[in-house]
Amino acid sequence: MRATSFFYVLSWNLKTILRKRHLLLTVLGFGLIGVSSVCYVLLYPSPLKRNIWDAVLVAFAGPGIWGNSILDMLRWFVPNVLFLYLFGNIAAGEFDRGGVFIIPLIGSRKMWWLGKIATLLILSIGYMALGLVIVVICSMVFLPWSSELSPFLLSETFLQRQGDFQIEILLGWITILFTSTLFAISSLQAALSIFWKKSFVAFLAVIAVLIMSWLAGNDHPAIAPWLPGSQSMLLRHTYFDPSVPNFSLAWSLIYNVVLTSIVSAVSLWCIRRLDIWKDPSDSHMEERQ
Amino acid sequence: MTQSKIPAVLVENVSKQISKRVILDHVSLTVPPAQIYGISGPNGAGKSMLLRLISGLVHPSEGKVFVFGKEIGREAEFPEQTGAAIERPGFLTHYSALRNLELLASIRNQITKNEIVATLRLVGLNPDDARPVRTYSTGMLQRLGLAQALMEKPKLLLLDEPTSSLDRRGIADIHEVLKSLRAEGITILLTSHSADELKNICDVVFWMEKGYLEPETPSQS
Repeated sequence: MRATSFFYVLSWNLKTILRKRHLLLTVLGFGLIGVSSVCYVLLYPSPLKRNIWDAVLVAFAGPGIWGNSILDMLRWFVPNVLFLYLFGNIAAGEFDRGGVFIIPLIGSRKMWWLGKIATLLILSIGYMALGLVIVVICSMVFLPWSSELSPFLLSETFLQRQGDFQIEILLGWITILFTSTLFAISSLQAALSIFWKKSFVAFLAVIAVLIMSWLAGNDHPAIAPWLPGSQSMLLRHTYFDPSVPNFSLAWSLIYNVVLTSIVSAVSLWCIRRLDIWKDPSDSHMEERQ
Repeated sequence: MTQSKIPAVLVENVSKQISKRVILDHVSLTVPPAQIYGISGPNGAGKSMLLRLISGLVHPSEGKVFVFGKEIGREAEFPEQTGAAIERPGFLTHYSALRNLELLASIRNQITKNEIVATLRLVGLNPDDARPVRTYSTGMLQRLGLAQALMEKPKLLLLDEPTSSLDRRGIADIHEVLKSLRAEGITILLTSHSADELKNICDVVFWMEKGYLEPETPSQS
């Protein structure tokens, strides 16, 4: 039998999961976050000059350790939840649509599962890139363009420390950490939805993990680096807040890579041993006896 | 064994238990090539589970399954050159029938659009019908499921109640299709609630109840 190309599997996954409404919801979600960030920057009482990068950082900074602001939390939480809602059900959703026959068509459980994981990576990158573009466009409408960070941003009004920040490095870390966290958490959701047989329960579980990470990390800098989801909370990192010990940006990237690798490997081991079908009682999977 | 004597399907003493419930009880079955074999029985008898086992979706608790001489789960993860319509058809409801099959065919990229069009015509669907499949009747979806199983020209077809939602004329149409496929050398294993329907088309019909497959009875056809 001719082996199915991984490229065709990725192509199938993307064609079947992407919808116009996904694009619309992403634009809407990041549009709201962009506007909210611009409002925050414009309404902040300060005589210092501002530019678009202030709003971009506010949009993607995430909640700080000491802040406990619900708005800061929501600006971080909403894009995460939206991504999980749109794409986190990529594997179990195929079974819910009655697509169990896709796996024999692909010819390999391993290729099917790795295809789903790789698709989540592509979607995470695309989602983050689109989100960044939308927030930048929203910011450009209300704030002046600049090739440098503003005095407002570099003052201690927003960041916990002053420093020699550069736009490229800032945008690079925002993109890397947000994307890798989306990828890690959505991989976890995809795996849980397969094993629990209940897509919505898996969705709620990862949302609970994100909320718990936010709550548990508040005022507890020592445990924040270990909490899944904290990795995309930029302001909880030592680089931006020296009062948080041992929470480097590189740590977060490694944490996400390790988490995704463990989830993918354990899931793959289990999927090879699982019985797969969709039946009227909605139990598409039963543990192999 | 020579190539011609290798059975299309060989099920050896297979049992399947799920949560201590016996779904299949030491089932053995041999389906020679270019034959239509049918399995009839009441709901929950284990007919669909047997097809799932043969298709590689489900692992047996005991026993072995061979398709064209290769043991499923050891020598092949899934049976080769096999088309299956076992579950409820799971199509993308906002696309047309043709678009759905084109997308599915893109996974293996082995067949052309013309071949897909011909398969749709074979099962009695209009390839030019641009309506999304969410507007299809259950019978039309069933025909589309059959087209999906058929389109890559398999040597073995596993069909779970392929005519359950069709009217008499639709059933007759599908029977004609299956007979023509048998004439082309394709092996077909299908299930149905109706033993009478199976006897009209199958070379051999089995009765299954409570996971136990009764000895074969040659059919009238």
